[in-house]
Amino acid sequence: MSRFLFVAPPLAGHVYAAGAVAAVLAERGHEVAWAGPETALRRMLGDAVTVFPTGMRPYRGQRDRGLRAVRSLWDGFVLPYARFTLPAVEKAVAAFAPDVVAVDQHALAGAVAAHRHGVRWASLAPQSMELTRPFRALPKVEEWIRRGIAGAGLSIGDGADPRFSPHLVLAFTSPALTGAHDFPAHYALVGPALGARASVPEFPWAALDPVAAASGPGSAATRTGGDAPARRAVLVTMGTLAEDVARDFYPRMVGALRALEGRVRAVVAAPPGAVPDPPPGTVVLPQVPVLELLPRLSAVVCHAGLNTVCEALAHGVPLVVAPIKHDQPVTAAQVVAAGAGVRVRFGRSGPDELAAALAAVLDEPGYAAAAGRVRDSFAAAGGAPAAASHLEQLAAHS
Amino acid sequence: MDTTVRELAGLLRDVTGEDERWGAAVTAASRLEDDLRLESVEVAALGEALRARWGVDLPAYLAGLDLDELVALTVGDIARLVSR
Repeated sequence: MSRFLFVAPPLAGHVYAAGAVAAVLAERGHEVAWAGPETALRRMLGDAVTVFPTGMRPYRGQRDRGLRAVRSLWDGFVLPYARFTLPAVEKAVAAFAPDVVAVDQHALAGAVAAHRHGVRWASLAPQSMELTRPFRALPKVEEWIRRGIAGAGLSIGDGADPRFSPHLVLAFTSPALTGAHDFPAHYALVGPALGARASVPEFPWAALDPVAAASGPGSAATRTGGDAPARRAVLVTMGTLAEDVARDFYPRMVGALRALEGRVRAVVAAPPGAVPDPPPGTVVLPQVPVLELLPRLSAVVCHAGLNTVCEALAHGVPLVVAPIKHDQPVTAAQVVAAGAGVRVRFGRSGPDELAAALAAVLDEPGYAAAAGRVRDSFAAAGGAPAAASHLEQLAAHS
Repeated sequence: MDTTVRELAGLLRDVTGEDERWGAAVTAASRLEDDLRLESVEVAALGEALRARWGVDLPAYLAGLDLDELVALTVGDIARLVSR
């Protein structure tokens, strides 16, 4: 049996994917521990996991968009977070003596600590951002990131980049989504790692299907379903980081839902105050059980965060994507190229454009068919069990 | 220069779908990112429009800029690019 230390930033899309892999390793009898902000990790992973606490740094600049967001992500979060947590992560490596350190690409301290202690390490890429070189057209931006890493004292020996392990890079996507890229042989595209969550938010399931809830099968209410097609369930979720910037998006989205009233029944993951006057029957909740909802959904409207996109596509659900920042435009372009969704403009698309996009993915069967093809490629990629097997092989070679 | 800025404002209206009032508020000092909130698909569409109108290569120009210059990029900078 081997010992695995996971190093992750306290962001849901990062921790859930790594957590699913860690859970498989633990089930197979390995020792698993985490290094990161304890409160945030426990909220997402539960109380049973072993955590070496590193403390936390606030991420300022969450309202930034575009290239300003690139600057604030690195200058305002990734680099100071790595510097701040490095001593604690080094202590965790020394105390836990892992065979392999699994390092999120935005928790660079894990790579530096592993390298200093001579431990093999793997990169976890839960985003499209650092995988397909989105800034290859802007070489000075790529260079700025590399210089920032070096300037923060986070370079590791022999010039290796702490975002990219020379041993193993695990990416939670598949070529059906990334498109054809010449990834090096030590890159493993395993598809999304979906696992049981530590806590599942409550949800008013009857609201999704009030007719069935109010009457048994074969009742008068359900028989009238023949002349009016059932309303199709749609989830609108703009990500945990987007609450501030989504404030002017929701009113336009509500306009789109009104235009489709009677045809869709929407669940909006947002603070109720942020979503003014939604059409009757709309469920607005700050937290929703996405994985439990997905089997019942016909479409997802989201910010093109890779996590949400992959969860939807793993269920064959087509998307309307409104990317806001970071890797989201890259992921949105991948969804469009795969034929599994329609891209709209987060800051500008009006109610008509949003309604047309949503109607298209609901009514034109090509989108759902393409989403189904991506779902099949994800299933073939193996998900969390495949990622766990790659980490086991790396441990066996160390 | 001012004529070029007005023409660029028209192209920007085309790629964003914004209205006349929005276009009238575009000046040489308007920043593409912070003020006009151009999204990456709109920058790509602007590049196509500039190539068609003036034969300039916007992606090549952007590739020569560093991060701070890209964040600070204005309509005036684009006007100078197409005028040179």
